[in-house]
Amino acid sequence: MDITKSLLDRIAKAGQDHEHKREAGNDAGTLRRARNRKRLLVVAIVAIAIAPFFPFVDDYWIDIGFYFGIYTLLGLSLNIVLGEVGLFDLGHMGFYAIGAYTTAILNTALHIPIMVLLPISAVAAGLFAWIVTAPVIHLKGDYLCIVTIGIGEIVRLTMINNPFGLTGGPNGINGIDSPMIFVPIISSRQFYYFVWALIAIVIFGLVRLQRSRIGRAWNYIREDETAAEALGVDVRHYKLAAFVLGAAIAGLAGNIYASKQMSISPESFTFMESSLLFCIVLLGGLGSIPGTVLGALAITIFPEIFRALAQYRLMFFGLALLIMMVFKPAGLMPRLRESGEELRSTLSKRRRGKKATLGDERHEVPQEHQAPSLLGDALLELKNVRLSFGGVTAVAGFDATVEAGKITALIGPNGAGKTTLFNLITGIYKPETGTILFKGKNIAGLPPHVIAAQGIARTFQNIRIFPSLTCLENVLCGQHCRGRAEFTGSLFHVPSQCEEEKTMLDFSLRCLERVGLGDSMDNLAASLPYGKRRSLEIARALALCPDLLVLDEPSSGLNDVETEELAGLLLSLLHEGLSILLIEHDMHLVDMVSDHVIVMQSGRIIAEGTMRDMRKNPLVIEAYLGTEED
Amino acid sequence: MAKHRNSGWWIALAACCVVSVCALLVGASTPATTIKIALQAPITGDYAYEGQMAKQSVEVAAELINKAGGVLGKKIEIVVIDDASNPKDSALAAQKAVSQKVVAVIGSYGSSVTEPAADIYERNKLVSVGYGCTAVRLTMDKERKYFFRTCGRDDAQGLFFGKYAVETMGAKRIAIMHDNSTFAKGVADEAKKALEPYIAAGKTQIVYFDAITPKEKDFSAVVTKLRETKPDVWYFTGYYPEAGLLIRQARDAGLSCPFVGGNAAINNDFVKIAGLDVAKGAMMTQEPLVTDVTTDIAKQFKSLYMEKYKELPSSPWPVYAADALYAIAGAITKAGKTDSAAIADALRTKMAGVQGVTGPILFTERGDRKDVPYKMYVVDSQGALKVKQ
Repeated sequence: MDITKSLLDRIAKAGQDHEHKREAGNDAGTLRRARNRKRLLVVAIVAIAIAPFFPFVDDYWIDIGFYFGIYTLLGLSLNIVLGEVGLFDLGHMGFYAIGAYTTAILNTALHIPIMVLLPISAVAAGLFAWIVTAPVIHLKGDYLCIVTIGIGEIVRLTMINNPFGLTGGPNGINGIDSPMIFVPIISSRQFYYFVWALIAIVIFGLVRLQRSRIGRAWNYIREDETAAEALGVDVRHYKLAAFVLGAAIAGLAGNIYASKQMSISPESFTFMESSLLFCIVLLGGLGSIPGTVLGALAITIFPEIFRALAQYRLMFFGLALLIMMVFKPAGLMPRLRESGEELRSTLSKRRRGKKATLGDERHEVPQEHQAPSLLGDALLELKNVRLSFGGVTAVAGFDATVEAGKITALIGPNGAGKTTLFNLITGIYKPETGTILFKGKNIAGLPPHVIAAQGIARTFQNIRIFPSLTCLENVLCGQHCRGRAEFTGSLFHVPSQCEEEKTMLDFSLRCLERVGLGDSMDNLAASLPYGKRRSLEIARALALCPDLLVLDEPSSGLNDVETEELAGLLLSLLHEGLSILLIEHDMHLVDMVSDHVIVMQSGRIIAEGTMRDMRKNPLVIEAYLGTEED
Repeated sequence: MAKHRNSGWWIALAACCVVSVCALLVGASTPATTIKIALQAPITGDYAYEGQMAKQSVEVAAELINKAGGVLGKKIEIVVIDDASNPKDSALAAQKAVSQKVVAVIGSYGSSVTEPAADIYERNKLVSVGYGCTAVRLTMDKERKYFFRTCGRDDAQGLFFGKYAVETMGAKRIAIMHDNSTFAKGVADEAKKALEPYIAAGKTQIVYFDAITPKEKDFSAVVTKLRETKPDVWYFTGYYPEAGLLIRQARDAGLSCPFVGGNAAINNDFVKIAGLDVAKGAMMTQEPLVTDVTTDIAKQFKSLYMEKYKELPSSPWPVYAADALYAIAGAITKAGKTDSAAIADALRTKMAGVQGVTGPILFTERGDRKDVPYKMYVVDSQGALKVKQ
């Protein structure tokens, strides 16, 4: 396992433990901590607003407040990439540098006003991020981390090497103007309010994103990339979007920094600074906005307090960080997941006086199904599908048909290639040859999220839920690809986005109720017992409104009662018109539900028909079932 | 359970208390029985070594001045502020110096670190005297009323070379070579400027003035062209990798005139690239180490420094920090008051007779030091640099 992944897991684990301790299943606690946070927010806003007026706060401390603001902005920008999506970006200062240098160069050479350059710097940094990360975004964990270190260093060294005489080499650029907002912003106090006003706007936007399908998609990717993709999240798109948005906010910070300093040089954008940003996010809590602010506070205030200790100050600083990480491994203020009610109320408060309760209104979910498939029609057809890993042929020229409105079971001994076949159908692997027709269209080789959006939802053999999200949020993942709202819609809460979110919430809740998890909607998925996690995974798949449900060993680990319930659920889904394909080892379950059985061995079909036929088939008995006496 | 839930509150509260107490401590000011002068230096960070030496040098100088009766009857008190050799910390350090109501500031070391600080001092009308910041633009790009420096500008050694080549070496035909970098070209231009009066008087001529391309390995075309001009002395203002190759290839081609490098051209790597046999005798224009300075103040300074710290500063720059303190102290004495405008004015116009560790300290109208002391160093037979006698 790579370092980045294990670090993420550790933090997530710590966060869940923390939640467990707090929750203990009572609503009062949940309410209380939400109220505490709210109170803290008010205190923080007041403190920041009046801080410069305390008698003992001179320009020096106001400037520290300003740099606290800059680091907050940078922390928030890295938090999108690292905290929300879990991508280890150790070159974030590169984007900050691009913003600062864009401002410096355009201002000193062309005399464009700083305030005009503010959005331009953000766009330049975002564009740069898109250009440099698009080719490497598919890299996972440690590899991406190393590439980002490279990106940060390349930016800094380019600045030092003074290309075309633009960057002024190691000495940098000086003589940058001050921003003008009706009056010129010059004094420490003006800059302080300027940066914090900008932070307020950024936080407002980020909170809205967190509570939209975009923010959730980021979290799904962090929690489990494969599952997110199989459930219809365009992973590449959202990762890139996170990088671009993060870089753009860093670019904003770069603009303000350049105009405050009036001169910039490559020394401000070192690897050390990037790792400091990393500390801010880890210290505060991954994906937590208040945590990031607190982390930035710690990072800027600690070294100032210890400055009197001269050369020992960095040691004390390190020690302080260490102590914090030991006692609060999930961060100073870990992200609290919103309850369904909270998600709902943020949407309706503005437009209606009364708070609508979640599930009150039953919205009709826009069904993506094309014409309802007729019973017995071929829904999924596999023709000559083949895939081998090195010399091992996992699926060898496979031909099969899954009929609409039926439950088809795929059985066979371990290593027969069943899960590989599932991965081919859902797009995780691309077949070497052959076609996979779904509703008459070839889906072979399409990316998983596209296949999911066409109506194939799956579960996994080893459960892949999103542990540190609530059950409701888990299920909302299925609805993700049914939504349309993008960044602007989510930021401005346009009516269509609000409607869509509400529809998603209601439908997801119904899916949860469907599998008997309606009461646990606000609990973290990690707190569910094993059997319920299976149900949650099914609910998540149902939320996609699929035509075909692909279940990989849904009964494994379930006791007899739970298996009976599962069979009941599957049959009732069948009656609602869903088609189901499942891998199963529990012959009892297969007996109960399946209309058609396909037996697979060494990547080939050795027999198919009803379960009763299979029991008599000598090939099947030899390969898999064994004799009756066994 | 309840305790746990509130821990966030307690941490926030505790942090607030700590911050307030610290702010109070910092904000409290003592009545002015001393003259407070700040030293902004890289006490931590990449150049901590330089910063520490600067701190020691300034403290030694302060002790010497205080022993001799102080300034305007008051003792000098040094306030050390760390800029960690980082532009952001430098701006904070400057703001701190301003808040602490010091009379003047010594600092700082690096040019890009000094830049933001100088802007803040300028805005707050506080005199600052740089000691290791040699970039030309610090004094030439902006009108700064309150910024001075005791170290030479990057190109000041060119001036020294011009004088030295004609008056000491008696060179009639001078070749000057640079590499088009801002630094090297600045030095070369300044050398050319220094030679102009001698040329007008018919004492010498420039037979070669051109740039090479950095990072090249084969300079034979350049060397051939240079040889044809038959120079008496050859001044190369670029960096050591090219310098080493150039001298090697020139000697192979039979060019035997003395080689003088700028202070970026000669170091241990230069000797390695050129080979000791070739490098021996190569000269360099450089700021003197305190070991090689022989003024009266330097003698006192060295003996007290040795007494306190057992070994002399190993780089030229910390001594300029001590010089900056002598300059500020001298200017305050001459002005008779600690008002910033008066100090700045005194630094520009009334410094006659003020001596520092490296000699007399006078400033130009733009705040650069006049007649910066340079020395000609030479590579000896062991490959070490020694002052040329």
